[in-house]
Amino acid sequence: MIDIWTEKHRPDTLSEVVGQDEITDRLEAFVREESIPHMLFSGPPGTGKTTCAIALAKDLYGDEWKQNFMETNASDERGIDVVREKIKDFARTKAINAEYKIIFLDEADSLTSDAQQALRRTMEQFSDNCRFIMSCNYSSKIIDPIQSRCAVFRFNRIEEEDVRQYIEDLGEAEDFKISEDAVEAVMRVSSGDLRRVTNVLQTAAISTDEIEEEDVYSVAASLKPEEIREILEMAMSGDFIDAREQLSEIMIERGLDGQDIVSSIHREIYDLDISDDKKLEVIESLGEFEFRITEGASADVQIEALLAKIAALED
Amino acid sequence: MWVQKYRPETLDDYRGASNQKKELTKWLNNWETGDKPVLLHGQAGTGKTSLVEALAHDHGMELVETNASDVRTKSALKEELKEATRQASFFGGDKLILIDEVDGMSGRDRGGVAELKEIVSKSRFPVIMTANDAYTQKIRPLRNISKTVKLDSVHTNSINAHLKWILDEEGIDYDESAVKRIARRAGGQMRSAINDLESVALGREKLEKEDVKALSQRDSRQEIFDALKIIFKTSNIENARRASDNLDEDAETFMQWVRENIPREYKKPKDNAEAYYWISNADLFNGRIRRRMSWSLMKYIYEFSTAGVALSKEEKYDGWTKYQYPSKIKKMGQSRASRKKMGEVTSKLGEKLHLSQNDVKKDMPFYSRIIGNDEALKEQLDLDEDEIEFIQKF
Repeated sequence: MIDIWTEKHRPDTLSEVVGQDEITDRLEAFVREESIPHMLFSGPPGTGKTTCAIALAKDLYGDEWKQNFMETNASDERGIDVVREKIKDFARTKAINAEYKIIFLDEADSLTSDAQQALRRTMEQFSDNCRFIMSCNYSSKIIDPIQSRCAVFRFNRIEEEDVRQYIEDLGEAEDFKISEDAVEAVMRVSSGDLRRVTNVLQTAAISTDEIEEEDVYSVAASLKPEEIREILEMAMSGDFIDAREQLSEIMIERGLDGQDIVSSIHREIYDLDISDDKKLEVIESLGEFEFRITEGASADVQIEALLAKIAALED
Repeated sequence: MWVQKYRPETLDDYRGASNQKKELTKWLNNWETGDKPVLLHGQAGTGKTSLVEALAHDHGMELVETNASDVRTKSALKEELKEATRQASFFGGDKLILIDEVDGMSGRDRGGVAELKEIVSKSRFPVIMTANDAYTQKIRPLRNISKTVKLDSVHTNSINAHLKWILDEEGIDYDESAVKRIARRAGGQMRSAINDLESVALGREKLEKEDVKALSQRDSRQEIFDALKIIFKTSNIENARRASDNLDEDAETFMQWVRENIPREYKKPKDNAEAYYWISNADLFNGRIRRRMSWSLMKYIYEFSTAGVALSKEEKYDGWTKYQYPSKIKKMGQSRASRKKMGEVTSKLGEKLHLSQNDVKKDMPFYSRIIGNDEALKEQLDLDEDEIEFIQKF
């Protein structure tokens, strides 16, 4: 047992999964029939994709679930070859007291389309004794030949009332009180991501057992790179080299994710002291630079180019 | 500087080039108003200027030097030269006029070459022009009216002998093979050989073989600096494009060098933004190449980093910029240990919490506070003290 709440309170069975009733109904039917297709779970973070995969395995295999279930993350492993080796190793032996083993491949959309093609061949190679569950944020990033071999389940953001109920249950289990304003605040900072909700609450509960609105915001603020505002202001006042220095500090030394920085910049732009036309101009470039990052360009160079543009605005 | 200190004073001191010495002496002795000027050409560092200086010295002539690439505008050049070519020497004797680097005249200054031709052909005094390359289209009119004299690159043996002579003069002992090595790698350029020698030998009692090793490293660094200088100073697409020729660095490293130094050279925010736009394009292509293995796209990284950045400036910036080593490469090196630690910690936590390493990284501030000093959690998550310390930084 691990006392990180996201683990401690992760449901052991499909019937306890929060929200996603339609999906869990279907999955329970698969368990009853003991007939599992390849599946693709698609949806935003914190909506229960991993939880459903694990709960399904527990429901299906009971005590033997760990031997018959392998979890691997496509974005962590070094290349598709490592993933395939791992799959091969796991698939070589027969399932224990079951017909199939289940391979859960998280973040499958981080694989390039070539790697996905290779994955498809692996799926076919081992479909005699393995079923694949792949998860992704965007199903559009999964190649058709894989999608067409899978039952696709779309995980929606968890409904507000389900999140409220979850918070209430968690308060009872972990012995904390939370004000209505604080609940609202949790909803706002987590936008339907149940993992985020749980982490925010556990962090807030370290220092108080009566959680108020301010507690939630101060906890959530620790996620936001505060320096972004400062960096933008430096660039605007002509200290481009300093702005660039600080950006690389948070990106290289603290390992902040480029995508997160882009989102922070996006939020800050509207508060900058520039005309509305200029704001729109900056947003337009930001869009272009963000797109390039998704195309494989490096975040630091693209963000610096944006800073350079912002620095030149008043000219 | 040894290059200055050991500049040959007389033609006798000047090593090699005996035919050229004879030819120039004959030309100068017989020169009458209306005779052809000389176009003395040969690659950089072969000693063109030194040769002309020694020639003037031996003939007791006043040498009037202008550098064509220094003189900004056509009219300034005209003024300076007209005066020099018409008026008698201030000291009463004869004058020899040297116009250095005529092929370095700005490409924009279209009238410049024609003007120069006009002035030179009417000169009352003998004129020697020098060029690195006599056959560029630009200076063809000058070549047509001149007697061309080619100065070959200096033979390694001559360089070797000269370097040893300098070391003797300086009272520095030396290892033969060390000197030979410097002479060989100079590629026929006396000037760079002397500069190299000075940089490794100055202040030593004896020049040893291993003292010379530092040079090859400086070499590639120097090549990069030279390339950057061209990119940042030129506005000519051809010159800029050629700046990356013969570089040892791979495209990505080269791009990082340019990126690092854009704001150091381009002080105007507009120039900086535009140059950065081109670097961001180069970076995009680098990403595409990596994803799709489309190596044929490589040329665009070079073109955007050279021509794109060069043409981003409104006008050339005066003065000297201290170019710096790319801080990204430096920082990546320095933070390797901490990135490795990050990988270990996120992988460990990710496995326990069913999360990807990226998920863990994103929520690190939460885990840092939740784990805090909770002994039970440390044990459940199997974290050692090093890892705890790392997590606490968030």
